Amino acid sequence: MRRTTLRRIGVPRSLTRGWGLAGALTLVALLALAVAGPLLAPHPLDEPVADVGQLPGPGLWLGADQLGRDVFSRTLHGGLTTLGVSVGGTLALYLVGVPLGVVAGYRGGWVDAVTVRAADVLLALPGLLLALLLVAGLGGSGGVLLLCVVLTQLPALTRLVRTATLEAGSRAFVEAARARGESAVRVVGFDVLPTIRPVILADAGLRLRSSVIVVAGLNFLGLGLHPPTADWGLMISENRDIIGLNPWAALAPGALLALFTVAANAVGDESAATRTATRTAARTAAGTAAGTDPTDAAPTDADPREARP
Amino acid sequence: MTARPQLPPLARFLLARLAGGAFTLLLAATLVFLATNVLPGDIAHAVLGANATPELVASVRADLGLDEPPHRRYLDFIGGLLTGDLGNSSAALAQGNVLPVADVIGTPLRNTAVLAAITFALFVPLCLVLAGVAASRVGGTVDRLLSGGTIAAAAFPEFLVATVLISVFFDALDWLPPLAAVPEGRTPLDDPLALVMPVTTLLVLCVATGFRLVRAAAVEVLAEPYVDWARLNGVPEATVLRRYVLRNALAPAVQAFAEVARYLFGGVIVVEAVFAFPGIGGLLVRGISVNDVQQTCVIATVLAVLYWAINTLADLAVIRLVPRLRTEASR
Repeated sequence: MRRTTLRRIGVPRSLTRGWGLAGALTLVALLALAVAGPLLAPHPLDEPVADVGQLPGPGLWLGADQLGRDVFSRTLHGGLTTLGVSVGGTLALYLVGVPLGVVAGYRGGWVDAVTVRAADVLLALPGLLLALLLVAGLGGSGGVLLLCVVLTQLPALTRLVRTATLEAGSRAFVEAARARGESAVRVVGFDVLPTIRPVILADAGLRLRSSVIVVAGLNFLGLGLHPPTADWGLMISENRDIIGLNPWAALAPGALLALFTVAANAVGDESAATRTATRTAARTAAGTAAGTDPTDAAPTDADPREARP
Repeated sequence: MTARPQLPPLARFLLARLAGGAFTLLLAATLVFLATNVLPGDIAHAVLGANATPELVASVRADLGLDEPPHRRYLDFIGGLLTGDLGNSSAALAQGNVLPVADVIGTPLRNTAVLAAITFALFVPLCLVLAGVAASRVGGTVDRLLSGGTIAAAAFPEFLVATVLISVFFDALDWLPPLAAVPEGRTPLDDPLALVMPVTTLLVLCVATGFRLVRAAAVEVLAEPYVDWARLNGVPEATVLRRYVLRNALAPAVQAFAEVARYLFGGVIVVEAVFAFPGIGGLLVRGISVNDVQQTCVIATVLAVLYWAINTLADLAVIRLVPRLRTEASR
């Protein structure tokens, strides 16, 4: 019953069971922690409350960091920056990438040619290099990190959406809608978008994971947010030197960060696997109708992890 | 009908790739220049600090050529790249020294090449063996453990893997040095122990990325009729794996290795920074943090060229391995 309700409000099937469900619940819990964490922190962020690298004890659940500040409070605070920028950046990525890919795939012509060419140029640079260049040019801040998330993954997403749109555009019901004289906006909104939705959403989890890795990586390298901000990526690099004194100062934010990326990975992996299985089942059922040419499967079966910077 | 001399397909493919590559790399270099030169952020200010007098800033800007119009600087940059003149380090120039970028990047490039080569030389056999073992026991415990483990490992940021390794093997056990610095005039190979952790970090992430792709390819080949045929004819399993499966899974495997090599680019930058390894990635990060525009531009362009070369080499290797593609390649 519950599952049908979830399905009805648009939750993909892969997230209602097994690892997909576990991953989704973990993501929600960590996001809730990141948002509510700052309210729960028992100590001030920027003031020393104990000796440098003091081990955990009563009232100081995770010990003290390299400046004697409370690790527990800073960990509660530190999720909001990384997760906020990553989730916001991933949303922005889809808000830009999906329209771009749909327009390129549906319009064709020079719009398509320019989009594909631009995507190829961006793909000619390793993702992290692109992010580093942006940081070099603009300096590190939340907005720049968000831009990095969008730009490092935009070319891959745009190409994926474009390919899916091309495929959908040649389907009979889309051609029928066009032949009826429906406007491009209607055809895209009612026929193309619903058709390509599963393809687009299949690797959303993996893109979220890539986003977190980009953001946390730049913060860790000291090129993103600046101290004294409490941020998981930044905390790991700041406290590496005192890992012999109080390992929790680096490992606690690290563990939460890893939990988030692993959960995002599980969600992405499950939805990608479910999608492949559904496709295979559909194709077997449809017999030769879906095409026996093995290259037919190439665009969607390509590994979605390519976007990893 | 005029009979035009026909180049062999492979040569045509290469020519097309070189022409396309030259164009793409020119655009990439332009992008690099735009990102570092046109966006705000002024090295003169960064080097001299907030208290510098306007006159001092102006004179340093003049030394750096920053008062030239952007299009002049762009043409200088591209022209320099084409003629092999990589310019001088902006950060050194701002302090009154002349330090050609070409001199700065040589040793780090070699160090990074050593690090990447060791990682790759260990990765390829390891990945093939693990994927072969998992694929020949599809759905079994070993397969599930390996698949699950690599999926989880793929989700770990590389700096986290490095941090965990350091906390275990340096802080807890004190077996391995936490840094992989290489003294002036030495090579990374002089201190192999220091390389263990950087290489392990990269290896974990490479295997996590490559394993699944190679396993999928091997599983597919194992389902082919000729594998059944070989088994039914009593060919030993090891020979089946080596002669029939490995040979046919090699083309997709090479693509997976190319994917991993591309991925190594990002991984190497971070890992070098974590372990203070004197490679090109660490140099890039340091250059960015002191706003060294010229050095950043050159390193980014060099990395783009290497990235392109790896992609092209992988495509070539795949064409060599799949005879069918040799005639289709140029289409």
